[in-house]
Amino acid sequence: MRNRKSIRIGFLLLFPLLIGQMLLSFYGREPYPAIMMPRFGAQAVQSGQYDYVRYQFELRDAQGDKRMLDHHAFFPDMHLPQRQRAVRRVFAPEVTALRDADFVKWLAGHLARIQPHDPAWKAVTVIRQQVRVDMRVRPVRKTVLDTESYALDLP
Amino acid sequence: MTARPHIADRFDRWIFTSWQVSAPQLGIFRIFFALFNLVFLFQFDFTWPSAYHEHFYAAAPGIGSLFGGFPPAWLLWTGQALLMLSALGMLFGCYTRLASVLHTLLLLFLFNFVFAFGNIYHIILWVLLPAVMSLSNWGAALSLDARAERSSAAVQTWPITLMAVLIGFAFFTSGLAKLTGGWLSVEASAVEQYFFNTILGVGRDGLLSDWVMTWNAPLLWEMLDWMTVLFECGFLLAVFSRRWFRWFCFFGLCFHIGILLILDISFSIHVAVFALFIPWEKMGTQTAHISNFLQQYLFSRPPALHIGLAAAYFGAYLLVRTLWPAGYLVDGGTWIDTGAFLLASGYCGYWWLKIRPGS
Repeated sequence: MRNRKSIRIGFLLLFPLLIGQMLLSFYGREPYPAIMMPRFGAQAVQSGQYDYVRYQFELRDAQGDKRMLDHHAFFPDMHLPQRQRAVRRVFAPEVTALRDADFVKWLAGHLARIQPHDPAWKAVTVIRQQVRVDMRVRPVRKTVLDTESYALDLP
Repeated sequence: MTARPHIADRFDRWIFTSWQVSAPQLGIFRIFFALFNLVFLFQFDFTWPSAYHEHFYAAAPGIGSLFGGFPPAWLLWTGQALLMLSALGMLFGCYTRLASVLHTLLLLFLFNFVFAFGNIYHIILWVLLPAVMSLSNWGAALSLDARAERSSAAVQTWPITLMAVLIGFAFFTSGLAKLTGGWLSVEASAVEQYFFNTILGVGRDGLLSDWVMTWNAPLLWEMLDWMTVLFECGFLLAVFSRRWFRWFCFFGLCFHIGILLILDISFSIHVAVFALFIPWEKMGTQTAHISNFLQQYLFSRPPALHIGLAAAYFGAYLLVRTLWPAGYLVDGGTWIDTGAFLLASGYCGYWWLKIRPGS
């Protein structure tokens, strides 16, 4: 019976705990672990249009030959759902990672790892585009609103 | 007389007698869940984050705050090997409680480094299930523990009620966020916007994505918004009715199949979670056959068989990893996933419709 009483109390305590962790994630960053399913609650729904940011990477070797990779080809071993967020965070122009020599060295090693048969790349240009999608027409219309790029010399 | 004892009785009945399942049936579920996880782990790699620079590490508050970056590959390899070992422990019912709790802890630990890239996959129900069900003594039958008389024969069903609460609440948080986030606004469809962002922005490609992209039907998109919110919010209320909860699990499978086909987002792991709620009490004859078969061919055999099967699993995994060293099935699992998901869901659906989940 004592065991039953503990379980009953446990169930009663569970509800405020669940509500507490829900409120925590609603008003801050979602903790891990948390008893939650995907929220998608804060979507900015605005008259059939929305914007997203697209990243591409232009590689250049010592002879000046170039190759363009999108963020999927640039991080092929990263899980697909992580690529967009990770790239957006780490390669935003204002992020300090890009001024970190250790990170740039890692980037050169990463390219050598994912393309072991290619020549050593000497530079990578990160191209960041803001794209607007118009969903009011089919097929949807994509317009590039803004493009910015910056080059990183690889060791 | 006051109403208080009556409410307390109902509360007790809800916790302790909502779900009826026998020890062999829990054993069958445990074996199904462990097999499901062994198949899942076979095509999953937890070691890839170790190749990334610490600038990519942006773990959510919680477990991730304990680490400053990605651990070395050998540690993740060890974790993955222990994870597989704990799944085998659950499968054979060998130190079941320890294996189940360890399985949950290792999943929490290993997934932290995957999620540290910024996107949390909402698989917590599947992750928590082994630890929660270890409280039910799901290794009481069809297990090496039972053969060695290491565990009691009694099983508890209140952990199933607990799982139901966790499922209902998890979906409710999602529904509430959508409700307060403007999903019911008729000006534009949130599902439509999310669909295009997933296909064009994230780069996913479901089997039906191309067809859905041609839909120019605002009313249909808006209906999907409303149905999603109603389904997710309603799941919490369904927790208090066995009949409704089972129907919500069934709708949940249909919902996830739709998401997989349209958005290429797989929640096939929820098949393993929702399977806990099939109408066990009406499946006595069928589960008796399965139980007898497993008892005769798996649990009455010498330990060499179990050790041999475990070694074969590890051997096959290492062979596959050698042939496909990195990225095996990372992105290319759509067809396999869809096929397996449809098969498993179809099977569950068949039982639901045949047996008609009743009270």
